[in-house]
Amino acid sequence: MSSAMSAARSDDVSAVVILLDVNPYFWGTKTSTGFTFEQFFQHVLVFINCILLLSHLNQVTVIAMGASACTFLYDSAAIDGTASGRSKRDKQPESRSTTITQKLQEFVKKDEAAETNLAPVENQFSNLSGSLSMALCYIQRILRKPTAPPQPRILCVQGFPDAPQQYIAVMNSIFSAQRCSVPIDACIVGSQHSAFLQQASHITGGIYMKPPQPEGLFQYLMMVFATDLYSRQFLQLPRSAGVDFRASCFCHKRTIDMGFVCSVCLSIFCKHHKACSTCGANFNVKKGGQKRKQPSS
Amino acid sequence: MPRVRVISRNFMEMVAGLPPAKLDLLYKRHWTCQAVLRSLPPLAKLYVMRLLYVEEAVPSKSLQDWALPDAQQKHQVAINRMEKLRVILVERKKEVCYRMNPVMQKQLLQALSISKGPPRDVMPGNVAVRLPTPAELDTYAMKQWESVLLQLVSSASSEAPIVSPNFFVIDMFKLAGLLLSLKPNSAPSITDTGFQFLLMDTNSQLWQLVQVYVSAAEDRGTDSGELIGFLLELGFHTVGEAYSVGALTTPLQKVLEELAALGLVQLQKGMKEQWYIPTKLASNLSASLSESSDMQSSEVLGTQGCIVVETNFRVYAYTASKLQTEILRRFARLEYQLPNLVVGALTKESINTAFSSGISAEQIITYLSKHAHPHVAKRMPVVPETVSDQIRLWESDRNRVELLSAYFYDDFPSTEVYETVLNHARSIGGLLWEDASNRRLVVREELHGDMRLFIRRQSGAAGQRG
Amino acid sequence: MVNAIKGILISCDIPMAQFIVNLNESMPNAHKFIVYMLDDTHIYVQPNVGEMLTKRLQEFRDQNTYEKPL
Repeated sequence: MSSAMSAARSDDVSAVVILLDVNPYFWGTKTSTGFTFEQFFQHVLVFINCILLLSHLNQVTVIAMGASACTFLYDSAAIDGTASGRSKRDKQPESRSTTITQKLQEFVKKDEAAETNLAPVENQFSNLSGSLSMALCYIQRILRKPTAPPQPRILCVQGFPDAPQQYIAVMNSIFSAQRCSVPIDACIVGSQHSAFLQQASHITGGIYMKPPQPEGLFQYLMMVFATDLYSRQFLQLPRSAGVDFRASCFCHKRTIDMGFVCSVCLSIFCKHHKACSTCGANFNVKKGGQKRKQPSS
Repeated sequence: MPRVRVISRNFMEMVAGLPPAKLDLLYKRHWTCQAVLRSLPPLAKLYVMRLLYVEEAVPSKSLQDWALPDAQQKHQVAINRMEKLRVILVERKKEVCYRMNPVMQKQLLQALSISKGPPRDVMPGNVAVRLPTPAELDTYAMKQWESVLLQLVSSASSEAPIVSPNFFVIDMFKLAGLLLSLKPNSAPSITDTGFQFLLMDTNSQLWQLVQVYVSAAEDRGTDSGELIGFLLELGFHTVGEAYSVGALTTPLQKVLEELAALGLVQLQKGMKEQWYIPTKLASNLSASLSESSDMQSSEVLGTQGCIVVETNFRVYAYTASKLQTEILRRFARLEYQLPNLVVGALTKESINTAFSSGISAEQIITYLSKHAHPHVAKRMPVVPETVSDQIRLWESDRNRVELLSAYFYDDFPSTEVYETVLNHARSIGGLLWEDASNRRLVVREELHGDMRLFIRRQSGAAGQRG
Repeated sequence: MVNAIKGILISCDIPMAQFIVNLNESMPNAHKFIVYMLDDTHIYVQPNVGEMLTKRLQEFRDQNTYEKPL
């Protein structure tokens, strides 16, 4: 998998899409280590500067994952290097961090307003599937540019544990990422491991890491996640110890170890159903009714 | 095509060749540090990032552990580059330790925490500046660069010069070894290196000229360190914005005119002030410093490739540029020239003329594929296999017969003497042909003296024994 | 006593070797330049004929070229 990706380009230009977990339900509660959101955000901002410093062709895009929605916070490629479009030349260009912080504040306000409409149970989880899809669509757009595009990858910084109801959507995004050879890296700042992201990095060839000391987040980001795809074949990077491959059932979204599988479309159910809800295949089998081909003697 | 890497590595070698004091002075400037960082190989960049926050020296064993066992060679290359450029300094305690250059470390830490704007301030809005549109700026840069190259080409063609000679540019070409005056006062003519230069991509050409320019700067009284610093900073300016000339030091102001002649900046004058506007060529200058830049030359100037090569050896170039026509004339036989199209064919004769002027088959093929028209650029391979194979065959046709001046030895008194002489010839690397059954061998001419002494000693020893 | 002869070693492919041999035969006796025929692909010739050979080879190559008139 990795050799196919590095065969595309032999240099270290990369386009990183960072998915930031800004879910207030997670950051609002006091974590055991006392790692606050401000510290986390600062670490991420400096990390963005670090990636953009490495090469002038590097691109960074930041997508914020809220409880109910996600939005683009920053796109380095959208800011033009030329002077076209600058009407007021006396104004100093706004610094990167100010722009991102402003946009984040607007987003959090909108997110809060939207949450009050949802039922309290559902809105505790971060919208991972939504942001993954947004990221993948954006990457497709980059890949269609006429000039040689940089190698894209997704970095997901997640705090909140997995949402079982998002299983199908997340798995679909993971497989699309695998198709476009976009590695998904995962950095978990919460307390629990995330089965989805473990599977994501395993399938797409990314790196999964849960830093033991979240206050040193920037160091982990710099050492591990700033490495571009070309250099990854030469460096020692954390390997996954084990991947939690458990699936969730399609009817109740519960994580299960054993269940029923539709023979047509392979969807998983925890209880016996009369028909498959995904493909409509009929499961009603009369005893001894099926014709079986007799082996020719 | 590795050309850019060779040339730009030469530039970085030149930077590395500066005395340590000057290099440290250079690293005091924020933008030079960034430019040097971006010029490092990818592995080295990551190492720098990792060492950025470390204050003490790190033993080299720990650094080695960062790389996988089969990547040790790349690791070593990265470490050597960093050491040469004094990005990391060696400290010897119990073992070899590396520490980041503190001057550079400070600058890079600043870069990380504060994302600065361009190096210099843009002209304030109160001065009336008519900024050229990006398209105008690109055309200006292209025109300047083409006229520079046309200097080279017009000396190559025997007809009357296409463009009036610009002596500064011609001097630079002479220094770079691209033009040669056979007689003291005659017009210079192009050399083999000159032909190869024409076929290189824009970034390599730019870097070669810049290198020559910087090495000659010392003689003209400009400090080369300052000049290198300014050139590296130029890449970080915003393309298309005006920067005041007055903000630069006096030697740099003199330099600006010559840079304008190369097309890197555009100079404009106002009522009291002068300002310069960097073009795309300047911003690509520092971009192409890194060892692995894959940029096509068409991306550099914003022009698209325009050459279509067909399997019947016909070449169609959708261009009106004199430069492109002249370059094509070097190795193709031009048949028709229309206002926007040049039609030609690759014939054995035309390619052989190119070979005899020093161009190689690989260069021709790379040139044709780099300047391919977008309609055929996606074809794999860009130049049809028939054409590229045939060009290579024509080249090897010239090398069918190899002539080597040599000395022929036979009539050896005994087999032992023959064997000894044979082994000796092999060890000094001069053996060209041997015939053990008849005791004959052929050795290179320049090693004949050595061989004669050796044989005399052998025969003397054999005579004493026998 | 070992004999040393100064000259030019030609390494080429078999057709070219035959071409050189043919060229040698066509020269008058005083101008025959081949010293030894070492094997199928190597020929040892006198030192002064290098340029003449290159010229003849070039002519031979050009004979096989046809250029369409413009």
